[in-house]
Amino acid sequence: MNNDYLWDRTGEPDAEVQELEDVLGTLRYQPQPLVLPDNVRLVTGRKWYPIIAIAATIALVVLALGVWLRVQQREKAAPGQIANKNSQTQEHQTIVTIEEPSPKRDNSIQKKEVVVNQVSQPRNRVTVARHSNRPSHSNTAREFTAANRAEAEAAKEQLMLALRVVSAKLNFAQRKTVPGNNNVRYQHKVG
Amino acid sequence: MNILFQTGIRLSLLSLTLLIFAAAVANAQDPRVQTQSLDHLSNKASQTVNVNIDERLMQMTAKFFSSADPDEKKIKEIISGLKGIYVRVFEFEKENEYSPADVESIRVQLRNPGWSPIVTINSKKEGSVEVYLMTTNDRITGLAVLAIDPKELTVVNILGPVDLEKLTELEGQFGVPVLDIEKPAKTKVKN
Repeated sequence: MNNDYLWDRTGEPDAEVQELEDVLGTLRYQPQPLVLPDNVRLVTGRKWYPIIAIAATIALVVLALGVWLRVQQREKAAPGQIANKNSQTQEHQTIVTIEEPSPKRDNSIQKKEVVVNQVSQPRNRVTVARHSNRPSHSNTAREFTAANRAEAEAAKEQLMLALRVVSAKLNFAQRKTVPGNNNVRYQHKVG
Repeated sequence: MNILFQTGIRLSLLSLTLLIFAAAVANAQDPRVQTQSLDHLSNKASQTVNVNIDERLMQMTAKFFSSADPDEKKIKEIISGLKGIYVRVFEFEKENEYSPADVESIRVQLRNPGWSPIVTINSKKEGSVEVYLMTTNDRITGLAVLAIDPKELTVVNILGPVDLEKLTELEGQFGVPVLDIEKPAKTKVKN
C-alpha cells in the first residue's frame, strides 16, 4: 500500500479507503449560489446605526454649545434697568421712606424721606433698558462717550436704587435681630 | 460594524451624561438667582422695580463715584469687586396677589448647595425676610435676600465677594445697616 494516496492522492488507493471516499464523496462541497428561504427577511438598515449615533452625538454637542452661547448672549444683553410706576404721567417724584437706625446705636429708628425721580410707564408695563451693542473698554470716566456717560449715569441711579432696597430690607432684618425678639431664627454662623 | 454601533451609542450616552452633570454642577454653584418665574407678577403689581446691573456695567458705574467723597469712595470700594446686582420688587395694592409657588420658585434655588441661610425672620404683621449667603472655599460669592410681605415681594441678588465688613461701614449711607451676624474670630495685631 502506498500511503502517499492519503497525502496527495498519488499511488494506488486502498480498497477500503476507496470505498469510504465514494460514500463520503456525495457530501463533498458543491459550489452553488446561496438561496435563502422565503420566510427570511433581510435587514439592511442596521449598518447606518453607528453613523446615526455619531451624528446624533455631534448634534447634541452642537446643540449644547448653541444653548450655552445663547444664554451667554442673553446675560450680556440683559443688563439694564427698569423702574416703572403706575401712573399715566411722564415723570414724577416718588418719596421713598427709609427707616435707618440711629447713629447713636440706641436701637431707635430714624425715618428718612428720599425723593426719587422716576420716569413712569403706562400701568402694569415694564420697560427694560438694554445695554447691548455698547462700545467697550474705557479706562477713565474722561474717555467715556456721551452715550456711555448717560448710560453709566442711569446705571448709577439704578445702583443707588438697588442699594436703597437692599439697605431697607437689611434694616428690617437688623431691627428684628435685636436680642429678645423671638421671631428670629439664627440658622448659620458665617465662618 | 457592531463594535462601531456600540461605540456610537456609548459615546452618545457618555456625552449626554457629561452634559447633564456639567449643567447640574454649574447650576448648583451659580450664585445668580433666576427670577424669570416672577415675570407674570408684573401684570398684577401696582409698582415694579427691576434692577439688573452686570459686572461690566458695575465697573463702568464705579468710575462715576468720586474717590474724593468719603461716602462715595466706600460705595466704590464695595461695588468694585462685585459681579452684579439684581433687584426685583413687586408691590401690590391687595394682599395675596402672588402665590406661594412664586415664592417657592425662588426659595428652591436657594436650597442648592452653596447657599446657606444665615437669618430667617418671620413676622405675621411685617412679613418675613430671609438672608442667604453663597460661599465657595470659605469666600462669599453671593448674597440673596428674599423679603415676603403680604403686599410686596422683593428678591435681591448680589453676585461676587460681598464684603460684609465694608457693607457695615455704609451704615448711615443709603440706610445700609450693620448686619448683626457673628463674624469669624480674628486675631488682631495692634501696632
